[in-house]
Amino acid sequence: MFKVKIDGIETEAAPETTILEVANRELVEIPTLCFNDNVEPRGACRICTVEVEIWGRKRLVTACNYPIRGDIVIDTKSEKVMKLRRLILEVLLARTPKSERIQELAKKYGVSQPRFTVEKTDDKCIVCGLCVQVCRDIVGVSALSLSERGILRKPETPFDEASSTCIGCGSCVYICPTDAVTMIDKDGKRFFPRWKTEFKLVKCESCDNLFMTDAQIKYLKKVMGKDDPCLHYCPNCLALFKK
Amino acid sequence: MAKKINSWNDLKALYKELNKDLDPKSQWIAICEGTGCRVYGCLDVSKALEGELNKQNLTKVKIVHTGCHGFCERGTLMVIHPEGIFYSRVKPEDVKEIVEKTVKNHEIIDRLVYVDPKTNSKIPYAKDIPFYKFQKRVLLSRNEEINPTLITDYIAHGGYNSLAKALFEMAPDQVIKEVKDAGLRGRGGGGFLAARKWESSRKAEGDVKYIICNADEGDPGAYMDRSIIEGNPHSVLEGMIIGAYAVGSSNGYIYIRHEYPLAMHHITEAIKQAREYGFLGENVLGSDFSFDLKISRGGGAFVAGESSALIQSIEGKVAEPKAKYVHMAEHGLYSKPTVLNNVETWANVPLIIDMGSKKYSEIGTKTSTGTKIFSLVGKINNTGLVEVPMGISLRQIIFDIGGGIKNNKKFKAVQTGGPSGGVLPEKLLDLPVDFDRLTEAGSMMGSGGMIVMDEDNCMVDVAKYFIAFLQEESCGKCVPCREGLKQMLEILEKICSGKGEMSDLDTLNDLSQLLTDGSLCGLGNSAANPVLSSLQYFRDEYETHIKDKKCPAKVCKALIKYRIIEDKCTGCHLCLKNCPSHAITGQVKKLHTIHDDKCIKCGICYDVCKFDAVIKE
Repeated sequence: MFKVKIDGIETEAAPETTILEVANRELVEIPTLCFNDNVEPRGACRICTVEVEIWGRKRLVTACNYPIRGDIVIDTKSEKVMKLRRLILEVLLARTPKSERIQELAKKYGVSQPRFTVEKTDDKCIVCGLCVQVCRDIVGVSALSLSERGILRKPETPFDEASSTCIGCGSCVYICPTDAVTMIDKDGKRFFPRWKTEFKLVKCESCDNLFMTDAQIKYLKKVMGKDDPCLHYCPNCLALFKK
Repeated sequence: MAKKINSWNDLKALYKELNKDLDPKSQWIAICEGTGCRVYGCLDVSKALEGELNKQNLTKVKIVHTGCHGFCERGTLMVIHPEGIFYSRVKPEDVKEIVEKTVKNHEIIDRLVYVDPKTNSKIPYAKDIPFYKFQKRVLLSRNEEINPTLITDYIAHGGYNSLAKALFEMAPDQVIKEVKDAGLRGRGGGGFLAARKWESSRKAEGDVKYIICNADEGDPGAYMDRSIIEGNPHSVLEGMIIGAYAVGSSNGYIYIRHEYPLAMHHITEAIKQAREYGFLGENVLGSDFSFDLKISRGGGAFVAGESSALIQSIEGKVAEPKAKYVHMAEHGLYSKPTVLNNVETWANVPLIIDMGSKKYSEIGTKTSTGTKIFSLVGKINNTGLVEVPMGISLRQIIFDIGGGIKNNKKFKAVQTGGPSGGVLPEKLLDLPVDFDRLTEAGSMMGSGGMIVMDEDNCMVDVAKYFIAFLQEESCGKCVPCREGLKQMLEILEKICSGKGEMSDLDTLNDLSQLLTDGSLCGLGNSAANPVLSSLQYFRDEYETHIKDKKCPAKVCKALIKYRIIEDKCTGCHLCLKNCPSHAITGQVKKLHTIHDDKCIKCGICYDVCKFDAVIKE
């Protein structure tokens, strides 16, 4: 175990524990955007940057993926950290002015009007890559990837066309930290405007509620290797049956 | 099929046999066939020379088709031995005279001799030419002597003896110690101690360990690594095999960019021949050690030269850097211990084993040992590849080797370290070139790009150029680099177009801090250097753009005007005829006028006027 001091709180951490894990345990708040504990932290948004002192050296590191490997002093609100977070939020606010999540964080850190040209866009995507990660690492279909590079980088289906591998599960919608990915269930169909992809929704055989896409049922049957009640009934009805 | 070499004695015997042919008195002609000279048409020169020698029955005179000699702007280069007569800008039509006069009668052809632009004197021998005289060519010297597609040429000059020495005389730890004592620092940019990486990787647990050569050179205007691979590919292979032995690796990769076709061809051929001779494969030189390597081609993304991105690319993923909290020496390629060094670093390894760490570390400075190859480009008389001992001053490189600034213009700045390096002003010309001093001055060693600028370069425009390059080449993963560079570029464009405000300079400083402190990888961390260094050393130029709406170097189009001076204009019509936007009017033999509303400021009138009647204001 290593000695950890985080914002004055003295505690301990096992080797390879991340700073964010320690902070969550000690109820020290560190803002995150691209972090989700279901997938590997990419350290892309940099908003969780904190200042640490380890082996006699001070440095800035990202809390989400920095593994503790020695006695460490962590300052999550140092002057350098706060300035960096304000600058990150300033550039993000110029990029996605309509994102409520960014607006809310910016307000909290005292960033009002960016000094840059604010994009005239409704897009709320900050290119964190979580949608791509969840689709690949959790769902397992890899319907999305980050295309282009630099300022043009964006999550996309191949060639920005309707995807034939997407199963319409909506994991990308649930994981998106800025509500940039949406899905619309309407008239028996599910539509993802961002992915330009549409699915037929299937009814629960018990309650008649639309509960899953046909592509999802087909995919699940394949990975489960058998038919299963969960592919015929919605989670609510399944729960009732179990009772 | 060549005979496999199964012991050090076999190698020594082969060396003896091949070296015999290298009679110092014999006549042979080296023709540079590097990429630069190929552009000048060296292959036609070679063909003509072969034909002429055959015709004259001079078959004893050997032609050596070599790699790059470095003096690229003078191509095609030809050196006639044993005298070392140096001819430049050789054309196929010169060949007949060369054979007739120089080969047969040892006569020097004045017309082909190099003229020193400083003294206007003719210098017939390569060794006397300042461009070569002031260099220390320990890595590049063999480029001028061997045919890179023949392993026998390399062996004849003592090649692979260092490998044998390491395998049969030294334990792996001793090899690491030797490289450590030599003080070898990575030539790819970071300048980390190579041996430290090797040591951690050797100690790391893993059934498989990898050795990687980074040949994804991507800095604009830099081609050091390309020339080493093109001109002496076996030196890189030998370094890698020695490294593999030291680390305990059996597998390696050379990651080389697809845009280097000749280098790709030469390294592929070199690997094939090294396998045939038993330097690669099972039981190298009959020892217990086995090692082989593969080529992995890069697609041309600048960021793929970043070590963690490069590894992703070899694994078949998008080249995207990863956090360095997990060390590559322990978890690198396919999560196995990995040592990654660049081409020039690997090429230094056989040299260290051959010379011994003590002698090697006598070259250069205490903390930066050995030599460094720079590609010296820009507004300089002698453009080319130069190899110098570390610690030499910028002034010596630029003025002694480089021959000073073109057209007697005034030196303004030198940019070192590639696009994310910094610009250094005249007052720092005596700065010794080593890793630490360059970093202290706000630039860096980088991989060895060196761009010289004169009074006609606008430093804001230069910063804009590099930031635009980096913005395009940023992978776009992390927010500071992706968004910060975009905003930085917008501000620089604003200043260059005369719409800048003084507060923009503070914003540029803030964005620099965002990039330096916040970015995920080295590309973003160093990306602010062009802005920070130009703000530090040339702040007045920024202020003139902002306050006076003027570009002192007269580069930024929005801030300049072209005008025709009445006294000088002869009314020759040349500018009018060449103006692409019909912005010039005037009658023959009468004063012409440029109309600002139509002028697109392309500068063609300025360039074509024979009477200096067009001026920029």
